[in-house]
Amino acid sequence: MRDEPAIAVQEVCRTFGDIVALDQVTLTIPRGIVFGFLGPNGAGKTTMIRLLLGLLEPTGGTARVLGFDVPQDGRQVRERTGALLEHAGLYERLSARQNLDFFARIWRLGGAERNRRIAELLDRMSLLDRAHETVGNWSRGMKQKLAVARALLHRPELVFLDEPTAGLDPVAAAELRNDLAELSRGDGVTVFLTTHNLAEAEKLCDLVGVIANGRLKALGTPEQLRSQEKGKELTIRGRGFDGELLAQLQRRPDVVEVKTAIDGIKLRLESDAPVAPIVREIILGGADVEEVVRGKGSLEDFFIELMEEEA
Amino acid sequence: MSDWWTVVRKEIIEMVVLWRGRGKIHFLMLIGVFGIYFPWSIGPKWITSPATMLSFTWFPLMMVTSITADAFAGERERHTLETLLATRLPDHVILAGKLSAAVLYGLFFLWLFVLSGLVTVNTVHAKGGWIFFSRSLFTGFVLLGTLGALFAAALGVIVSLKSSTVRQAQQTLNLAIIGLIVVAVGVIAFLPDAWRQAIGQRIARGDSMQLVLAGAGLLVALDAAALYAARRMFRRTRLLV
Repeated sequence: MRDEPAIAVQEVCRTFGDIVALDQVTLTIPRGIVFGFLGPNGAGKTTMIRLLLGLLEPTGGTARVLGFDVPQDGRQVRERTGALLEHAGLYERLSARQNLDFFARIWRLGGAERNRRIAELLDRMSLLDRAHETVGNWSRGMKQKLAVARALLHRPELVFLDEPTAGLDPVAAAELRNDLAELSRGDGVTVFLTTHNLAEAEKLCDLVGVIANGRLKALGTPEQLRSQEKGKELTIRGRGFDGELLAQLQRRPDVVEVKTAIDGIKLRLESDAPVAPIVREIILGGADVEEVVRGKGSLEDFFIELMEEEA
Repeated sequence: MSDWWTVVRKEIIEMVVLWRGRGKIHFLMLIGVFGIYFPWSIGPKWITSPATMLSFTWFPLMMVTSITADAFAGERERHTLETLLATRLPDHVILAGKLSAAVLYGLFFLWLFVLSGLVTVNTVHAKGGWIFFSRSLFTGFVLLGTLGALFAAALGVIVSLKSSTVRQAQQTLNLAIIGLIVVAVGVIAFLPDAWRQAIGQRIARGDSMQLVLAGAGLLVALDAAALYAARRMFRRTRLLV
């Protein structure tokens, strides 16, 4: 079973009445990587996590997690996985320590190991000095950190994290990203995360899947997906980009799109378009060009392009 | 067993936290009214009359239903149930743990009121020697109290799983309990006169062991049906749909 991928789903479908939440999704995620599942709200990301945890049954297809058939051996799957679902799901009347203690007992951590692990995780999340506070009074970011700690408590082989950095301040989000990267690269844990933060996915994920309307639209490394983006971006900073010049650029066959920005313009070019003639035309058109930056394309650009096509 | 106790323990800690906060005054008022005031004003009859047993075995039902609504509909509303379902705990352990905690909660209050009532009556109205419940009344407290609390808890699960909020679950459960009382009174009203007289005489004599056992038998049947329905409904793959 150790040779099987962390997750292998084959033509998985899930419907709720007339609504198709997952439509023939096929996906294989190797062990020990960070997988990012991207998609707009309602795309099917949370349904997929619930299904992989055995909280929902598929209406079609097969789903295997860590070598176990999910509908058949859901308990075996949950024994080996940790999860932070859509909501932090903390007991708000209890303290942080009581919350972790309850879950540590569920995962059968012994007395000394339980106390050590709880202290270690609270410390890692910078919550140790607030361990005895009732979590109901905490900020969303603090609750989120505690929920992440809860998901990692029993050192699972696979962690599902639904928007783990939502509500975290930039420093805490960066720290969590480092922790997740370390968890995957250092401890060999597989991380399945959903996020709306595409820059985060680009930095953190080894493999990315994009889902829309329940269908898997793209799957690959961030590099592979970026290279699928149609055209390339050119940012030109300066002054004097008047309407006539913009219209002239828009008429060029190698220019796909012209957008104005605060400090200049952004052009989307055909992928094989040479840049020099375009810059020359801009200068001859009377604009003062201060800087020309050729964009490498980003996961965000690819994602937006994909969603526009979908729409 | 340890998984079951883990769930029970967490539920008890939550109840204690709830009572320790703003519930402290509420708690003292309940003890004052049901454990001291009523026994004091009714006197020794509070111990000898079967009416005490009948009214007190209903009381935990209300307590149990409110706690069950919070443990199931409340957890779903607060999104903690989904997290709990994503753990290694089997469905039946989560269900049994939460049911047990609710029953223990109801029984804790039942026996708290019964014991404080006994102490109050014996202290205020003592006329040499302690008076205690008859064998049938004591059996009634133990059997009907426990089985009634279990029924209320199982009914609480069924209603809570069909309700989207705690408030809705509590309202439905309160109506259900009132409905049960109305049905019970209605059934008694439709009994033949001879039967009613015989029951009345037995109750008046305090010789009601057979009635207690009959009531317990009925409750066992109701408990079995309600627990079966609750078990069928409490399946993680159905709870989040």
